[in-house]
Amino acid sequence: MNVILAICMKDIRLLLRDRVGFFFTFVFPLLIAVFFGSIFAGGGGGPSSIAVAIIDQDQTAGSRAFIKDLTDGGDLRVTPMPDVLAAERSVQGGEQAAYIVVPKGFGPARDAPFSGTPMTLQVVVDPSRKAAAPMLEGILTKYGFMQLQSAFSDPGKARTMAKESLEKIRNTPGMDPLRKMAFDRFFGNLDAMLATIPDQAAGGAAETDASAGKPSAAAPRAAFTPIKIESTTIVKKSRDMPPSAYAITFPQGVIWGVMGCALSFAIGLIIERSRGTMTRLRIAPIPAWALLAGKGLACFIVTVGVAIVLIAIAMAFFGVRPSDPLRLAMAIICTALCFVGIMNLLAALSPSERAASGLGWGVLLVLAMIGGAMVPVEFLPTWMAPLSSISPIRWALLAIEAGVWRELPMPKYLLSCGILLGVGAFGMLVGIRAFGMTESRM
Amino acid sequence: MLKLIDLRKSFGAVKAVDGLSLEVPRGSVFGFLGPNGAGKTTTISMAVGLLRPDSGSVVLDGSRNPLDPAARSMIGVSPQAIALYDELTADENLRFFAQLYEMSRSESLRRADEVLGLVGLTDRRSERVKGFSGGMKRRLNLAAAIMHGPRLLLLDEPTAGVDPQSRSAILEIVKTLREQGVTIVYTTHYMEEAEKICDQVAVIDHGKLLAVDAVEGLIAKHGGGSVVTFSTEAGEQRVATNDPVGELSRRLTSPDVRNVRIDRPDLEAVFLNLTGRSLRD
Repeated sequence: MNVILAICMKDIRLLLRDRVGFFFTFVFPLLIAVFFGSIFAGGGGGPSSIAVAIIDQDQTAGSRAFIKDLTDGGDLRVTPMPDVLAAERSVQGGEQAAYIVVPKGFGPARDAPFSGTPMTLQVVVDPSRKAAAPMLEGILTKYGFMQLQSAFSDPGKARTMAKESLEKIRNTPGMDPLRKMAFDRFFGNLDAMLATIPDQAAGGAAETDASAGKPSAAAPRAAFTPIKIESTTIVKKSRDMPPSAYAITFPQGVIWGVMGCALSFAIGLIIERSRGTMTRLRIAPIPAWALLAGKGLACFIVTVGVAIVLIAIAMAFFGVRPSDPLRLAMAIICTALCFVGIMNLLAALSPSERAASGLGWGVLLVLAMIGGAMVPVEFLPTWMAPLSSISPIRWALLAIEAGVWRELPMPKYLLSCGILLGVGAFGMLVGIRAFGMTESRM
Repeated sequence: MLKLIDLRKSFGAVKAVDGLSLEVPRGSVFGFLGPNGAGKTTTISMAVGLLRPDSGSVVLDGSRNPLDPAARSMIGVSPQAIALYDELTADENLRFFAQLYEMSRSESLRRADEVLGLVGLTDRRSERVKGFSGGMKRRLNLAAAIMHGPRLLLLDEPTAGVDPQSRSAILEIVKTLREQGVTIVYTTHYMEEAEKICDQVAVIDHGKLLAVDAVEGLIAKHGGGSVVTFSTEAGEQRVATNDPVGELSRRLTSPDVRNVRIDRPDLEAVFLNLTGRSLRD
């Protein structure tokens, strides 16, 4: 066992000191996952790229005016939806970053901003796009102030609004008389002041950006908030669809890492043969299987390590939440064992480093392509779908996705794991046989 | 210490080793002399259990078979290729190979100190091998072979491609190991090296053993006579003789002789006489 561990530790040390091998094993898969994830998630742009669905439950002139402002404003890509269910599906499907519910009572609150009941919006955000949430809140707050400003831009409307607010305050039971008196004085003065402003229809200037209907640059900075935003993240009910692009690209990244790992170790094994260190290993009083076990253990540990690091990064920075950690762990183990076998097979079939590199990337790239590591299998042409079943990468992705987001029936999950273990066992057996048959001369 | 009995090995139609038998005495330096492709490396590979002979047998230390992994712990090999990990330091390389022989950490540290001192690399122990010169790599290659304290050491062209200083250092290391009681099989095609350090030399060609004896014995049996060269005004005159002193005394009476050179036979002459071609062909 000590010998196996010694070979394993030596191989891991060699990999970590080989910059090219380290890059393709750890860094390249991460770049793939982040790059493609950000492209498909649409996270590469600024606030203008935030796509939201909106549901108008209030159906008043006020709510419609707010939605129009939001749509025309250009800060968000607004898609009206008939109900919450449709909006939720759209967010779960990755089409929208969030959905906004304009609840009942929004319009009256908009018309009486000082009544003590602020406009309320419910915002539900895709957890994988947490970064968009504060940006979205800021934009909505801005549009909340804009509603207030538009009210003040029409003195007649503002006077009505002030009178209605004053009336409500006067009729509020239990309010401190001193506070009532203060509001009474404030709204009285406000009414007198508004009476001196010429009517908008008569040519009064409104302090808005006429070109886009946006608020002026000097946005109000009031001590109170005219709009209340209730923000939550979406509750994933359906696992049929990935919650975000990262939930697809990070498992793909894991596969790229695993492939890089298998290839690095296969080439390492061939280098041992060609440079003579294998001679030393074989002369040592250890059985041939122990040599391969040491190398296999190193490949397994690095493969699992790569997968753990990538999944941890996906969880920490990209909002990916594995739906079934146990399934994920099992899938990673099966995938690693599968690729240990593939590593042995590649080393057995390749007479030289160059052959291993060519054969490795040639075969693995084709398997990756048809297996969904480049483009998800669902997006491949229909004739290619049955073909993907011959690729172990297809089964590895399926098993890993079952731990991340995919609702995979247990029999199919077990089938995926079984196929991975079978491929791994086949590769190991062929590798051991080839290794045993290869007589080496110094 | 090592006995090869009628070893035969073919690769396809090529007979690499063809009925080779010899015995390496314990504690000696045994030279294996032959040109490239003579079958030296194949013979050594069979001697250490890396290759299975088509027929014949190898006996280690009286009764042990090198195909048995446990018997191989008494063997150390320094392959012709530099069999080291470039990305590891000298110390890491040695301690890794020590681990293959189940040496404890403290034992491997102590032994690494010893062998690095022996090969003169103590002050470079923490440097990665990729930065070493060819000679340093050769010495470390040898150090890795003796790390576990083998009783039989097979050195396959241990001085190939090294500078004269490192060559001299390697030969000194071999002598020291012999003094420590290690049996050494030394494969080379440098006759001077074989003459300097080998107690016995086996000459092989085309997989066959042509002769085996001490250097002096080989020269006496197969080297032919000495050659005395007389330079005169008319040119050079070469005389082959088994009595160069007598020949010299006879000819020096002639007033024409301006210069005289005596060439004693060496292993090159032995090889030439045995095979009909030069060792470096």
